[in-house]
Amino acid sequence: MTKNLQDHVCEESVFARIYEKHAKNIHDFLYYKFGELLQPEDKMQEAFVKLWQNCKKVPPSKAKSFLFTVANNLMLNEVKHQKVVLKYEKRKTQHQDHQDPQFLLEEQEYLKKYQKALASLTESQRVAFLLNRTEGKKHKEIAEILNISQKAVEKRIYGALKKIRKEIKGI
Amino acid sequence: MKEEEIIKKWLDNETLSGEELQFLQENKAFKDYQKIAENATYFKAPQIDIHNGLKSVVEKTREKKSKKVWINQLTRIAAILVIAIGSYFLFFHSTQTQIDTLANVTKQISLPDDSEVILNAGSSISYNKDTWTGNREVHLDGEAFFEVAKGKKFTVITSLGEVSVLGTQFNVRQRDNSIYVDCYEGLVEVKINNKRIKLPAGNSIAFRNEQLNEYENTGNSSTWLQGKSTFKSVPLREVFKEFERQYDIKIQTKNLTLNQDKLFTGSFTHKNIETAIKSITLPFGLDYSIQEDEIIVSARE
Repeated sequence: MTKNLQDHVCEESVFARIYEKHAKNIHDFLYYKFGELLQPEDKMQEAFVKLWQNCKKVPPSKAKSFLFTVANNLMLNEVKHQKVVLKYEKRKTQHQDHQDPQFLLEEQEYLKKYQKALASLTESQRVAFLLNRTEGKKHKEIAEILNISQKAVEKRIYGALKKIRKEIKGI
Repeated sequence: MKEEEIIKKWLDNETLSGEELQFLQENKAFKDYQKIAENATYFKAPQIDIHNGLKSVVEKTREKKSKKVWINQLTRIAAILVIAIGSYFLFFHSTQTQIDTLANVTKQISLPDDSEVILNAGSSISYNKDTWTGNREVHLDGEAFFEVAKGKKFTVITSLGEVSVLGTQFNVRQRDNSIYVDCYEGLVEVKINNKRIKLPAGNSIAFRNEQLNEYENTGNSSTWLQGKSTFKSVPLREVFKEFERQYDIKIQTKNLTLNQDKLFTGSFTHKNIETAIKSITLPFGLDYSIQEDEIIVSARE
């Protein structure tokens, strides 16, 4: 009984641990899946509020899937199938060597195309690919986050890579 | 399929053997892949602030939690109240419908079977709505005119006796120690002190100080319905009481004893206090003066 109580999500330390562990992943997942327009961070926060309200019903082992499901549903409630637009960061100062305008322009063009290509991916492809390429997550970690097999993750990422190339090249 | 395997391995940031690397270098799409993989970082999700995020969630939940507890308590209290009041009405009250009139007011009431009751000033009736169809019983305290729809026995219960009918028009006036029943249509049975008296239309009965009088009534309905009180051999004291009830005013007497042999036959209007008091005092040769909230009646000098 005491063990159960300690393991309760209602326990603030347990809740904090869950937050620290999953907050970023949920946020990234929502961001890559739905884009930035629908306030992924707010939805993530809301999901945690819901978890707290239901802390008696959700054991810690189920907290992750609860959070992902709730966050995803919160998003879906707002999605009106708009195109996913991921912002690309402005070129950083690391390119302070003087580049000729032609090169800059080409790069801008390239990123624009890249952006469109990302929007054309399926949600699951985009999430897996960007978690891998931008967050530097291993396939195994992504499989855990998304609750799918590693093989499926590999397939999605590889598929995404090929499709992006196709889109950019205009093949 | 070898190509796909190696690319996947490369995507997972695994270390590749020299052979595998060379294989990739020779692949013409690999250059594109490399560029795509590198540039993906430009689409990185913005950083979130884990520390402040947690703090704000905790704050939000605290608010909601305390609010929830509050509402919870409130709903509990509300539920208990509802049950308590509900059971009170169910077991003690629900069955009785009570209607009162204040002084100076009359009220017309429809009973569940469309029988009509007109309640005179300062009176009250109560009846049981739920058992009405099987048991037409009305408890009366005061005066009321009844127009009873045809049906089962209809009984008016007063502290002095019962009046039962089958469908008719009649008036019952019950005062401290007297009761008057006027029957205008049909047949009324009056039960006083275990004595049953049948009262046909056009007849009235007065039971006063243990004495029973039968007499004929005039008109086809009680005169108070037309705005006046009518009396037949009624003690003056009682007439004054009726007056007080109708006009909501006190009557004081000065050097005057109101004994039982001062009987009044006649009526007074409900519409004009001066005319009304005059029509009572004149026959007795009494003086009156109307004050703000009382009338002083005195013997003439």
